[in-house]
Amino acid sequence: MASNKKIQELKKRREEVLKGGGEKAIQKQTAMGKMTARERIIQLLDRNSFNEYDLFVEHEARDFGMDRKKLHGDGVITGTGTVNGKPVCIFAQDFTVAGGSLGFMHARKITKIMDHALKMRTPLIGINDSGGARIQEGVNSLAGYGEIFFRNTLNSGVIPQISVVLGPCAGGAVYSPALTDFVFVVENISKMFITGPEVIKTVLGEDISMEELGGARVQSEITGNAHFYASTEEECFKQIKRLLSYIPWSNSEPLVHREVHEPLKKYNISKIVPADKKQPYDVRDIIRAVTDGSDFFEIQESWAANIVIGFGTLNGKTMGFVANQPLVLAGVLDVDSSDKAARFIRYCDAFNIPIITFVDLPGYLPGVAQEHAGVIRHGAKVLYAYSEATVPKITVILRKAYGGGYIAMNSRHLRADFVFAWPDAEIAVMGPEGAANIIFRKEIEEAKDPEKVRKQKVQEYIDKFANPYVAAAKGYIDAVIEPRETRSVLLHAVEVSGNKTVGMPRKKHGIPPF
Amino acid sequence: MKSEKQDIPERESRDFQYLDIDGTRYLTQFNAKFPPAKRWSRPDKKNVNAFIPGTIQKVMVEPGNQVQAGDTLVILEAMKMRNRISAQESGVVKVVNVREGDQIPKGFLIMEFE
Repeated sequence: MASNKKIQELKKRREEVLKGGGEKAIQKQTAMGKMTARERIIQLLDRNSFNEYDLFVEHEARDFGMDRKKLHGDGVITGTGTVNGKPVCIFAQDFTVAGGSLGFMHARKITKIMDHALKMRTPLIGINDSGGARIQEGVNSLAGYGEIFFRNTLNSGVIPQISVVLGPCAGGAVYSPALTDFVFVVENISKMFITGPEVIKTVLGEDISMEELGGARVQSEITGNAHFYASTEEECFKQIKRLLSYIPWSNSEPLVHREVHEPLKKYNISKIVPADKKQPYDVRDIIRAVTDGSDFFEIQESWAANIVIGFGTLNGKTMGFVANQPLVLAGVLDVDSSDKAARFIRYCDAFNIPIITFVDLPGYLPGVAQEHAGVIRHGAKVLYAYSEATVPKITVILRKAYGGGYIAMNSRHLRADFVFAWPDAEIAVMGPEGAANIIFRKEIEEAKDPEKVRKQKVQEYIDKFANPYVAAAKGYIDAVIEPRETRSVLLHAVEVSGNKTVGMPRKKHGIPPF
Repeated sequence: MKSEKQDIPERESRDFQYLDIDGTRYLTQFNAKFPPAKRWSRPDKKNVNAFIPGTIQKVMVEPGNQVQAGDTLVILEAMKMRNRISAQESGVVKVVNVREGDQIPKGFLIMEFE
């Protein structure tokens, strides 16, 4: 048994390291409205579940006076704990210790816990709050980043990886969050960029603040780098716990099972979609009208809002929902919404989460800006992701399904397992106005009253093609259903797909249009 | 040069507008990035614009000079690189809008040809 003296020594050593960067630095951290790294871990994990490792790790740097500097824990806290009663691996950079700068041993602590997460098949949560590379350690700190990025890639699709940006995360450091599955940011606290405002000012003469360049709102509304936005750190931790309540712990874990409640009465599915195809509505109400308890956890709510993605449950099992949003940009597919949907589809497929797709879109967004931004290449991501996914894939066409948009949105042709359509659905190459103008161009041009003939021809087209029965006659749609039948039809389709087995040709990996 | 403040309105407060797709007008909201601020226009070969922001290190021509396609017009230093900006076509220089030492933004009209 250890002598009392030795136990006292251990306690003393622990106390010393737990001081972090010292009182002054902690005061500074608090003054910025930020929790300390340790407080964050304790808030996020289940009560008393945190077990810390590598508490006594020290850096080995010798140059520039570093040999005389002691950095507690080398600026990062690592360990394991539980969330919702299940094990996770976690690290949190400690800004109070040398600005959370990343040195060689700091990185080694992180990579050690990352390796652990992969081996034990637990999610990895990384809390980033760091001034960047520890310049005194030179290329060794770059090596540290590289080792982290490599492991992020290796872990990708095997275990969930969550990045929480709670402070600056600049330069190369931002590539770790970018390689992970979900990035959380908090207003006024998170700052992400490759080159900071100072460099931009000197090199380019552009004057911009950190917040305007890469703050939480910019990352969640303009760039799409962040998936979840919160006003406070507490709210952010609640979001993380909620996310972890939907996703499987690894790619070999079965789906989470949650309590089943009927959808709320206030979401009356028969009354949400306006009959006039030009009128908008919020497609999230459709999702809430079918999910258990009308619960829907939206991802990237504010970026590329013309497509909606997120998790909900059907009969207690997690589903990934993808839906065109007529409320924003008429629900078109464009560069950003294609990118957003494709990545989410691949996430669901990697973790065996069935995908439910709601379709109501006029097609791809026209315009020089879109073409020059590469909408061909980005739009192709949706086709690739749906085609490649082997999880159960179920589609409901609510209203419009035109042209390339129809094909892209998990059509039968991309191997959807079930395609349903509402009686109002229109499956056609394009909208009636555009189609009539092309098919009957000559007749319209040569008519005495072109406007009258045009209207007639549009109506003719509507009568003939603006319905789901042309596609149903070819078997491209499995069933035309009443809106109120949607939930029961989906529940059944999911149940029937429980043992879905399909093969893909042998390959090392495909080459998606990144 | 001061960049414009990013002002992103909340989704709820955004107005409904019309979006034309294939001859149909849809009532909808626009997102923070749309519509793009600038309309596309055909580049004018008579104009020489900066392809990158930087500092004018040297001006090699003055108004009235006859230049051949490929002749160096200015040296624009950017990202620690001295970029040679050369004439796309032969012609006569009409206006030079920069002096040595000027810091210019991307797209700045460096000079115009007759």
